[in-house]
Amino acid sequence: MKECDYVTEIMPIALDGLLNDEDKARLNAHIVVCDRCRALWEAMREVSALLAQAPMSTPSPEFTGRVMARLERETLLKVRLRLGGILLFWAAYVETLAMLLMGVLLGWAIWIFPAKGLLLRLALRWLWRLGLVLESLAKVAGSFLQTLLPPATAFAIVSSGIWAVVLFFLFRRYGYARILA
Amino acid sequence: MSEDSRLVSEILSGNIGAFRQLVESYKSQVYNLAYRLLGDCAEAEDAAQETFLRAFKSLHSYDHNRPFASWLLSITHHYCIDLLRKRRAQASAVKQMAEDLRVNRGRGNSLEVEVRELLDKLGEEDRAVVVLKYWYGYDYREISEITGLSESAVKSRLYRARRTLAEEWLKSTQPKAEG
Repeated sequence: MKECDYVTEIMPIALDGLLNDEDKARLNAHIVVCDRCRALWEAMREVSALLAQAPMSTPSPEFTGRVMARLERETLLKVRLRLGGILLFWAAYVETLAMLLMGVLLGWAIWIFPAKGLLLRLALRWLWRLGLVLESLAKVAGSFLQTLLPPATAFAIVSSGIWAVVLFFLFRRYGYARILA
Repeated sequence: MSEDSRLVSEILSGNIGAFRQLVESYKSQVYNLAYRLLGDCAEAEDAAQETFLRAFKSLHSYDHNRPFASWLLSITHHYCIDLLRKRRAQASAVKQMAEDLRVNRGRGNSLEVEVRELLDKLGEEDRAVVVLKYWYGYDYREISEITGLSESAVKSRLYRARRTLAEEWLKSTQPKAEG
């Protein structure tokens, strides 16, 4: 039984033609006397021959064209996604700046402008000059901005919602990895 | 610089058209590995296309000291093994797939069918090792690079696969011989 195990172990090496002379002789001597190992050895050789005979499978003749078409589609999609991403980024950036500016002006008009006297007593000269600029802006826009507060808040809420929905569908359609890549 | 390396550099510098030459050169090798692993023509073609797209996206990470073929076959191998694992996980769909495979295999010649049936007896990693050994003539080190297995694992898998194939061959031929 031990000889069977040893011979079975060296059979694959023999298949690759890498067996040394001593093991080759041992294999040949054993398969003469052992039916089971001889059958296994013959089967290994037959299977090897069968596999060696099997040709390389080839894809359809249109394969290269299909790959290139897919590649062009994906590349175009990537460019579109990138452009869309840039547009989205700038739109969000401009909106954020507008909201910030609106917030500063509203804040000035509602809370700081009424406390002007206190500020003038406490603040430094540069703040006084900045105050003058903001004061004139607030004079122009103050009452107007106060009436604008509710619609501006509604606009901020609605636009954030729209961003969230747009991003959700983009991520779902194209995957996080492709959009963030 | 090899021709493949030159093409890769050209593609990376913006000439996407040069990728066509790489696809032409390696389509059979990639498709054959996918076909031998998946066992279905349509699936193999999809997998081969996916391999080339993945390769295109990862070209910047290609190591020019490595043969392009083995890098590409490594992507094919990993993609197909993932597919096979997902296929195995989708237990409910397996019956339908097996039916589709039988229909598609019926179109092959008898040698193809015989080879296909033999390869089906092996686990996915063992099958990959056998295909890379017999169809591509790779040695243990090269197979190890492609599959990500250690050289000793490749050796033992090949040994086990050959033995399984021989035993299955015996089982399938003995009744014929007796009959």
